[in-house]
Amino acid sequence: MATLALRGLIKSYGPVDVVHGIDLEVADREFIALVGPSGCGKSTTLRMIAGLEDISGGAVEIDDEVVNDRTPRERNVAMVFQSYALYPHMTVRQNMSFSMRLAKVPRAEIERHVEEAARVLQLGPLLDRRPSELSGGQRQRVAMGRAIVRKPSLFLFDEPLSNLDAKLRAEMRAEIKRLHAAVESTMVYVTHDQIEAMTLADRIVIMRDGHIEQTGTPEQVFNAPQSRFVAGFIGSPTMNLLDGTVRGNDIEFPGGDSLPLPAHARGVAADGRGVCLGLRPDNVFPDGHGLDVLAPVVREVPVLMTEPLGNETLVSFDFAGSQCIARMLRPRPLRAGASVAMTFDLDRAHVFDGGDGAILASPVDAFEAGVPATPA
Amino acid sequence: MLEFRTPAGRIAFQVLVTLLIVPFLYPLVVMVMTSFKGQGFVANYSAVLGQPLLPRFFVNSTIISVAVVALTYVCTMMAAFAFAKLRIPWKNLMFYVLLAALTLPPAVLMVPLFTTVLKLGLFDTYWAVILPLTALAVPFTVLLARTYVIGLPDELLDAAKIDGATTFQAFVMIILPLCGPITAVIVVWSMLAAWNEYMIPLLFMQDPAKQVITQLPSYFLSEYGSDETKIITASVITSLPIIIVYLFLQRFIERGLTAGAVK
Repeated sequence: MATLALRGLIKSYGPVDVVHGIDLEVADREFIALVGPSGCGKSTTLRMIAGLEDISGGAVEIDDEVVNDRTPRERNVAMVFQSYALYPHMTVRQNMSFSMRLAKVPRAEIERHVEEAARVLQLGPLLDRRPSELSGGQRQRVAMGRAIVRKPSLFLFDEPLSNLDAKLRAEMRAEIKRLHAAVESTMVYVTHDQIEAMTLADRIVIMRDGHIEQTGTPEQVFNAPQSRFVAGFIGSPTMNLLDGTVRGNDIEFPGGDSLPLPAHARGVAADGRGVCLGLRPDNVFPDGHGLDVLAPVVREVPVLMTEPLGNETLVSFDFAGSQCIARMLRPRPLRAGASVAMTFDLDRAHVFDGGDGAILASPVDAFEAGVPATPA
Repeated sequence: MLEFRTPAGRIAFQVLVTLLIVPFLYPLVVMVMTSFKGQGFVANYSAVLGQPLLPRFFVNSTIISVAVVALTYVCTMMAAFAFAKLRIPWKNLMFYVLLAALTLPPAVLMVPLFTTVLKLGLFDTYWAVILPLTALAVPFTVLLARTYVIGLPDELLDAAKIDGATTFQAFVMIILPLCGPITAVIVVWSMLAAWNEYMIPLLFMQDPAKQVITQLPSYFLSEYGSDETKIITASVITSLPIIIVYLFLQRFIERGLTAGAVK
């Protein structure tokens, strides 16, 4: 159980900075996810927290103590790696007890800790096997067992589910969530999969190019993205992002399409300003195949393709010079090339600055401010 | 594995492989057959095995070979680990200097080695042979072992650090146990080099009681004539221990030499 703080954390490789002065505070027992595209610096940040990378600038604090110069052991952290990193020549029991044997913990106490961890992760029948005799999911559980057996103050996960198939990933997500509830420890979880981040974390930290783009709960980053990048990264399918120019009370897009400027954006997006309109696929749907909308805006659009998912269908269509995605509930057959009336729920649209991508107006703010619905 | 679907293809492949082996196998076969000639198998082998100093030669060769193998293994694995996994200033330059040593023919090094042995006061001791043989074997074994250790995942060392292991503990408890195949290569290579060495023991040790097994054939050379069949017989007996060691370790050697070739 520990608090974690990153104060102006910097990592440089020669003249190149890969992590640019990150500030972050993690409360005791909080589950925080660092998420972002490949190369954004999330794994490097995790490794600096663990003590596996030297810190070029700033500080890592665990329980309000600066730990920059401490070894991983002295920081009392445990880590689960993407490739499991199990010692191939040792049995599961030996893998899990390795750290305690190094610390010369009495044998009886080692046995007790190993048995307890094995019980939590259902590893009992596997204790005398070697990693090569285990499946991917079993290896990952052993890796977690090796971490929890030491009762560390901080758990670190570096994309632990990346090597698993989709079904196993879902099972292991539940396992990790159960583990967090069981051990009540502070956890820092690195992933490029935003679904993992959304389902597991108390708070999500979205990173890009060595900076933190936004920090918030899953609901906050989903409903109130502070930048175009966050809006496009969080959510599956991704948010539709349409670049256009404000003309009066409308946004004009390339190709001649236009939509009304959302009511909550009027006053912040002046005439002639370049903007980006963001709408989640849930808020765009063929007429009559979505949730109730106060002031629907309807446009005829050509269908490019459909992806039936059973209870819903994802419809790709061409609009505003971009390929957009709509989510169709109570699906009916649609063929590619057909023209369909598409409803846009602009009261749920986000408006970002066309230059730097910063949020200009969001529906969350509009709801709280009591802004009336967008006229069609 | 190469596979041929037709009987003709399989036969042709077998013939080709057999022809390729012949240049290497032929001298061995001739050597063994020659040892049966002259006075015959029993007389030749009795004469050689009856040499009173043979057990002493054998013991000396064993002592020197074991010491060279042990010292080469320790130096090689520590150097390979450092080159492969540690961040050391000028690491690459040091590795290239080590590789440069591979280009020097041992014959060229005899005089400087002899001078060094004399200055260290090691002349006519086992160390006069052990240290130079180790120094000559290490560059090649480091070249092989470094490639092997590079192939071991860095995450294993990270995990060991997280578990509280020092660098040395990670080396001994994690890296070394995973180096079985390359260990076999190092053992056989350095043992071959030490067991079969003739010139350095001849030059650096004068005491007859310290002579090695490769000098056994010279006991059948004389000013007045040479018994060639017994010289050959002595060569066969000298080669036997190495052949036996190789046969035991062959599987590991093949794995060690090809490890890291394919990811």
